[in-house]
Amino acid sequence: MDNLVLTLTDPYEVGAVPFAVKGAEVAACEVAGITSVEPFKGKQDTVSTALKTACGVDLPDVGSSKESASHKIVWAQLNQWYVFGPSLTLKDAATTDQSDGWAGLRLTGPRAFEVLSRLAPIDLRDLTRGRVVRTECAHRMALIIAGQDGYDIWVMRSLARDFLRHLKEAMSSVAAISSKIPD
Amino acid sequence: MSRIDGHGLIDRSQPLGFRFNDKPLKAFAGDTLASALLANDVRLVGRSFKYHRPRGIFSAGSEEPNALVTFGQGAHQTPNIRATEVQMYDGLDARSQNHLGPLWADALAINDWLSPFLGAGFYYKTFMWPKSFWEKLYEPIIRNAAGLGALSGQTDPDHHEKAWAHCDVLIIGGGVAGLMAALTAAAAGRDVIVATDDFRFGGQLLGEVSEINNQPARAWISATIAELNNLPNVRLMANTNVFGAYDHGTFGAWQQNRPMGASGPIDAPKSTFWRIVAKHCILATGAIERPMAFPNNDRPGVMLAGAVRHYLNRYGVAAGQRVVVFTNNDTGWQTAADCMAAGVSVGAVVDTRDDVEPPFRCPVYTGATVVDTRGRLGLSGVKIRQSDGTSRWIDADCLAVAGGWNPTVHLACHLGARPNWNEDISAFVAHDGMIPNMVIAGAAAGKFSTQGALTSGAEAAAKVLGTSAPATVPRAEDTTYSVPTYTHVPSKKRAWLDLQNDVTVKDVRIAHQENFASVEHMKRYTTLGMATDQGKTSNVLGLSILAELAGNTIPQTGTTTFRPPYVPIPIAAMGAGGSGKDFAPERLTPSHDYSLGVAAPMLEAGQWYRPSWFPKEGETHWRQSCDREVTMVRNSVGITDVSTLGKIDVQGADAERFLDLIYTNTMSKVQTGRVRYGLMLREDGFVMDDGTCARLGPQHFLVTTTTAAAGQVMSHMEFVQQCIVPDWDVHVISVSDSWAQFAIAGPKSRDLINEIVKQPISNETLPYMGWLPVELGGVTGRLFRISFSGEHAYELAIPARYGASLMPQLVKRAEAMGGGAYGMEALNVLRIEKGFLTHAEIHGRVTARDVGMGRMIAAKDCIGKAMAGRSHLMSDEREQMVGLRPVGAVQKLMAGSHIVNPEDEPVAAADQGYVTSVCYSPTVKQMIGFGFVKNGRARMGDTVRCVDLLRDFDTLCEITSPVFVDPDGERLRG
Repeated sequence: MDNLVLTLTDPYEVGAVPFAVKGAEVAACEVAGITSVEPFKGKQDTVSTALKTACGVDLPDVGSSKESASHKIVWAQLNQWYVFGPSLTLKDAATTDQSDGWAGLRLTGPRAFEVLSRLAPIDLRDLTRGRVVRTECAHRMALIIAGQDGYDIWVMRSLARDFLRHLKEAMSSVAAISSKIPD
Repeated sequence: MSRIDGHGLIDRSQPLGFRFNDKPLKAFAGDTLASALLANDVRLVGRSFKYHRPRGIFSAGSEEPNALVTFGQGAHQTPNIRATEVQMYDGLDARSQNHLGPLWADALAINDWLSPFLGAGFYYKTFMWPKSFWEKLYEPIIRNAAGLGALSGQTDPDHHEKAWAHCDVLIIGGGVAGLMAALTAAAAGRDVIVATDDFRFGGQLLGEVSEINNQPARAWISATIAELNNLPNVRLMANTNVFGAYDHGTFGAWQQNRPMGASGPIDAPKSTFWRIVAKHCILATGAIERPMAFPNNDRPGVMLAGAVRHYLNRYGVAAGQRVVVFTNNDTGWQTAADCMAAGVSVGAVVDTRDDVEPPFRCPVYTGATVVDTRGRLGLSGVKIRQSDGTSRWIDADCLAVAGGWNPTVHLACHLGARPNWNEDISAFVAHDGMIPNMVIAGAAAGKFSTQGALTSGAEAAAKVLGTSAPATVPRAEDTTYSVPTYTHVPSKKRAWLDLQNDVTVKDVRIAHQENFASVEHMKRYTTLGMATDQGKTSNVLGLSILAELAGNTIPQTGTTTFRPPYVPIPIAAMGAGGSGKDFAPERLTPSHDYSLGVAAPMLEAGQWYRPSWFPKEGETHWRQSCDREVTMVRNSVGITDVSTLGKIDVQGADAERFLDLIYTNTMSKVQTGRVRYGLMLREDGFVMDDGTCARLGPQHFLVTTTTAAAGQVMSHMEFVQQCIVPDWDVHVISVSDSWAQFAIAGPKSRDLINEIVKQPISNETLPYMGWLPVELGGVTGRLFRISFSGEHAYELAIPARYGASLMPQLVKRAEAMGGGAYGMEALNVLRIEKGFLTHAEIHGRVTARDVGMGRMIAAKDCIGKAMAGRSHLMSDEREQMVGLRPVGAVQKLMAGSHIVNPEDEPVAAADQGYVTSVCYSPTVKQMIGFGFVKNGRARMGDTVRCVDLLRDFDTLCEITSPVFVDPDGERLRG
């Protein structure tokens, strides 16, 4: 029998991303890895300091993220952060490798706001650059990080292909609606 | 043609063609379907609900009761669309509804001749006998004869979408009050949404000759729209009906992205169903004119006086060639004045008041009423009774009725508040605070003059902003509204209140006679206000008549309840984003594409898609595939994707005692490198889920859950951690999607694994219920020696992104050993043969003791332990899980059948239990199953009767142990 060879597979169908309509485009987010970090009892400051040394940024506040050249640290939920970037180990925190658990899509363009307002029930006006929210998005849980001209939308890997279908449908809808208001 | 040159906001340079009842007609851009029909002298547009009376256009807005039309063919058919709200486009094609034969000769008009027998309550009194005929005969006939347009009965093929919007101030209504409020709020930097159901902003004033700042009001409106359009913090939403007010500042709105019936790009949603969340709301919905009731007041040509002005001033259409005005207040005179100014002949102004000084020269009858009308398919004359008691007929093809104005208070009432009766304007008025953070402006608040609307719009915005001084307000007409009191002409003839549901004054009188005196009872007895227009033009009139009959005032009589939606909303729009593939998310396993590639039929397990079986050439029935797969696992090796199992990572100094609290058994005693089967209970003592718990390190565990309960267990653990033991140092996080996990089951499973892992395993290095980190193909995985089949088996977990690549290689190697992939059907058979549970057994109403696992509740405490110990839950009279196999002539079992003793009849009183899971076992070569039987464990060997009355199934079964294969577990440990 031949030797076992394992290859990486994207959660999406081949050629499904990138995808663009007039005013919005979507591409897969590329990250080296995702590590979840939950500081042990009383160790949040220690962990924050250790991260500052290891990644260049410390733990951000609730609902926000911090970015260095190598890493981005994202608040994820109560006492839980995700470190995007090369994997790391921490002595004083519970960590898990979430790299394979999530799939991220970067939605950008002038009408990205309108597209996301078709999918998520949140007040997107609050989602300014660097802000983070855990919310429902197209019937499933998502972690949304606001970027400079759009959003990184992370969903569980098993739901990613179906989410992309939903997202494309919203993009096409928005692109097909004229925003002209009659006088 | 009834166009008036030089009048209206239509674009005469853009002629359009449309069809009504297949007749080609002409219109202009800027028309509505209603204005275009009037312009083409189409007066008869529909038939009434019950009596099939000829009906014409009555109003110019969302209140329209008569002019309902149907658009589209086949599945695209959309009924009951108000012609008054449909923006005209080239190629529009609409048809009238509710008639048998052509509209002008509706055969069902016979109902009108039978009207003496068809009053309120007629159906309930007449079609009483025989009782069984109601559902089968009477109701279908009545429903067929009485009604509006028809649905297609097919799924709506059009694309609709849903969306959310958030703003600081939502302004409902695009009239001058709303626009003034928008200017004020926008100038203060607030995010503003202004919504109007019209395709054009401007509201009532679009149809009036009026001035703002000494210029035509339309000029001010246009300038204001242009200004608002340029502000980044203002969103103007035309064609948007805010139809409901809900909790926490949420409003439902339905936006039509193209005119009704128009086609559009394939991707373009026909409509958008909005949820608008607003910190503040300004209700500026204006007012709806109310008619007066008088005999035969429903003929085509009888219209609201404001609507006559609206058609004239906005669309340049004369609603008739000879107009008679019937009024009880000054606004009716404006209609006469506008008509005369446009050169339309005014036959007379009939004013119910005695003390009126006519403002201009025209035939005037004061202290007079309209007592009858004539004209079969359209009005040809009105009969008036003069103040001296004499009567006379006047020729007229349009009767403009002005009965006063009702503020449009509906939305303010949607959370249960009632409007106030304002004696000054003789109408119900909305007031601030009926909906939290809602302020009322303009005519909705009873401010009927243009100046009043502008000022109250600015004031409403100031109130929302928390500032006292409103911005400078433009100057406009500020006449005082004369109070209308006259409501209906007394007569024995039929005088309509609710045009859409054919409710007359007489019906209200009958309701009152029969003691349906409460307004809510009267409404239901007569069906007043229960049609698709919800009585927008009839409710207050009906109340006033009921009040008069009861000798009460209107406020004493009260209003009926206003409920969303304000106008009918297509169910397809409400369901947008939730039909077809959007109904539920699809969760796909790492091996999904492999399964599809080998034509495995898919099974939906919650949101997951899992392969049912893997068909091989020559197999024509699923049972053939399933039996082969089961035998393959029992004899060689099978592969299946079990990535759907929930996987929860638990870490921390208190992880051990946390798991001891969550599980019935003692997970703290599990050694690193070992796995234990465990049971979790709910607080109430019943079984929540089962699964395994592997110890990864001193303070590190991995919990697996069933596929079905993965979400429930995760939230349960988060709840316990955050709310019950918040001080403990324990961290739970889902890693379900991080791992692709494959079951490798069968006597040759270890041989297969040793082909692919770097470091071969043995029974010593990896015994039953142990786990090891393994390396394969350069990737580190986890190998658990656990079994859901009863065979020597493993579950191999590798990072999810490698799963798709691993699956075909595993199957290929298994096939080389005489095995292969197996699906959910075989997986189910294997676990039933071995006596393993799924949620078919732990369905939420069973205890650990019921499923034979009472001893798994350890001496230590755990969630659910106390409640599981309640005496009746410990009773042997409870149904206990057992195995079943058929012993009678019928060698079959059916899940869902009930169990009785052989001598008993299958009745509820004799019920001994039920069957939960069944399968054909190729291993024991007969059907086997699980059931729950009262005191079942003490009845091994007993014969019982399994009966399914619905499926006509009846057989004798023997109660057995639930373990049919390898009861001593030798295969597991091999």
